[in-house]
Amino acid sequence: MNLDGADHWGRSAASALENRFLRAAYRDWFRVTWEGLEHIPRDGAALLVANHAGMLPVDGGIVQLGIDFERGRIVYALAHHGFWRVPFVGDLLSRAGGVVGHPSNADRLLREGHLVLVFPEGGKGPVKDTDEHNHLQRFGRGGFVATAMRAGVPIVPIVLVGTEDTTPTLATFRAFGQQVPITLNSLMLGPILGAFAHLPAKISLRVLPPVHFDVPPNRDHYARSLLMDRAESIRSDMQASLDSMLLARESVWRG
Amino acid sequence: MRHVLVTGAMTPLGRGLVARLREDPEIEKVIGVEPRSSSAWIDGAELVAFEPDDRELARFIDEQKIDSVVHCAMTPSRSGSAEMRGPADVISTMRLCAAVSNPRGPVRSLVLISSSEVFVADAHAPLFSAETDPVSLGDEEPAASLIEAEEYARDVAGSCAHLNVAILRFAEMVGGGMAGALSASVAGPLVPAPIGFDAPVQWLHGDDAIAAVLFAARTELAGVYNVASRDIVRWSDVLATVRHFAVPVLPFELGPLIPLLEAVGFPHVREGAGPQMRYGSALDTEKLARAGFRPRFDQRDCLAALGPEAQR
Repeated sequence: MNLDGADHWGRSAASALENRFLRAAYRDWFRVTWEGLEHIPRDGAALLVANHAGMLPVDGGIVQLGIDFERGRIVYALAHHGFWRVPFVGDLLSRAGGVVGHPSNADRLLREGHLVLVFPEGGKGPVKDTDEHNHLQRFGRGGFVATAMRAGVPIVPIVLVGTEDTTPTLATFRAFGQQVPITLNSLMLGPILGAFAHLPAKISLRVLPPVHFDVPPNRDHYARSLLMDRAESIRSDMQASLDSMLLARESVWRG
Repeated sequence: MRHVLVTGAMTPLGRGLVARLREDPEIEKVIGVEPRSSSAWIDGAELVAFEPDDRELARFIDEQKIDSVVHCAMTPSRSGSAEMRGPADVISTMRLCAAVSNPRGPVRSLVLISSSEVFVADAHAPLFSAETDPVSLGDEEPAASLIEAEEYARDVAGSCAHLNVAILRFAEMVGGGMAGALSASVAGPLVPAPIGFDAPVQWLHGDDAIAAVLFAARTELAGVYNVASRDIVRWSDVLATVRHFAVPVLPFELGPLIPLLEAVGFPHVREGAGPQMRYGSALDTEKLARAGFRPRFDQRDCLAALGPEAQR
């Protein structure tokens, strides 16, 4: 407990629901709609797994805000530790419920009974090639499955459609060993404003039924083959769901 | 636990511990060890002088039938005495470990006071470091000496079945007459506030520190345990509590700036304090809780001990 009301993860006690800008972005700009919200547990811990797309992705914030708005539950989102090296950015993320993506942090959050959001695609999601549009990237080495198994919690997959269209990638190039996308936003508005400004694509989310694991919790080690198998099965279910949502979508802007 | 030897007996932690041990009717003898000081008495306990590499220490322990040894001498930077002596303390720990390792000797319990400084503060480290998490691999002091001393203590634990060795890693100490490097750094009129960072900070109240040592010695605890008072706070909470003038400092490694900062009134800004001030650190104390120790104080109590009222 902090003196200013933040919890020990640094998450501010101020509710995002009271932030007018965030409410407008969620309801009026991206016009977020959900299906399958009943799969988000009313109480108790779960590891939420979502697809990650778009430059400076908004998906983490959309899931956090949405579950807060629609379900009244707080979501902690795991993010790359590099953000915490940048002055103000790490502090801001912490206040918004961001936590350094470390297995110990995830384990502790889950054991405290929280909902924890993770993007298994990691950095590969936002910077993928143009021909990989709406195609889920490899789910790391399945570490997120081990985290859920160890804590004895279910994985709840969440599929987002529309986030990639908020920053459409026109081309990619390689620089300093990194894949760098050129987005429509950065062409129109320049590299800085273009990174922050997102097009008003309609964002739809579908929550898939929770995946429970029939293994004992608190093990130091789970078979790699089992982890990879479960991770791949979750990824292919999410891809199938994403494909069907894309088929049903009539317009990028109207949904 | 009837005959207790306390090393680093002139440090605030050692003094507090000796005073508390003296109050315990079950303890017949408390002997303090402090290098570079002549034989004397503190708080009614005998104080003897042994240099770190003194071979006579083993014989003294046998003669006095010491059954419990608390080694506080490794943590001067935490306990507020002068500068860290580093390698010299490692030698004294080696000597002490050798002295207590005789299976026919009287010692049954050894408690080594280490500190959270063994962990590296970094953006990619977990918020709460557990006992099993990796420790610093660098050669920076005091981490390098603490880790080396821990290794000797672990070694003697592994090879001596008759001995219970507890290694207690203390968070930043404050209150109960204790002060550490961090509390010293906010004692002056100017307090550094790194721009754009609000690092987590975790304190150990001096009274909790003493209670934890007594718990470890009484229960003949074995293994490595993190010790901290409840909860964590942020650097901004510390600044709000001490109400001194917060000076924004650039969030870079403070190395070359340290002499300059000290010259303008920042006391004890240590070499390598940069990552600590940006990312902070905290200890996971679950293991000690499972062993049965609950700290009495929380971070508010610790901050109260830092505050202007407490310092007056």
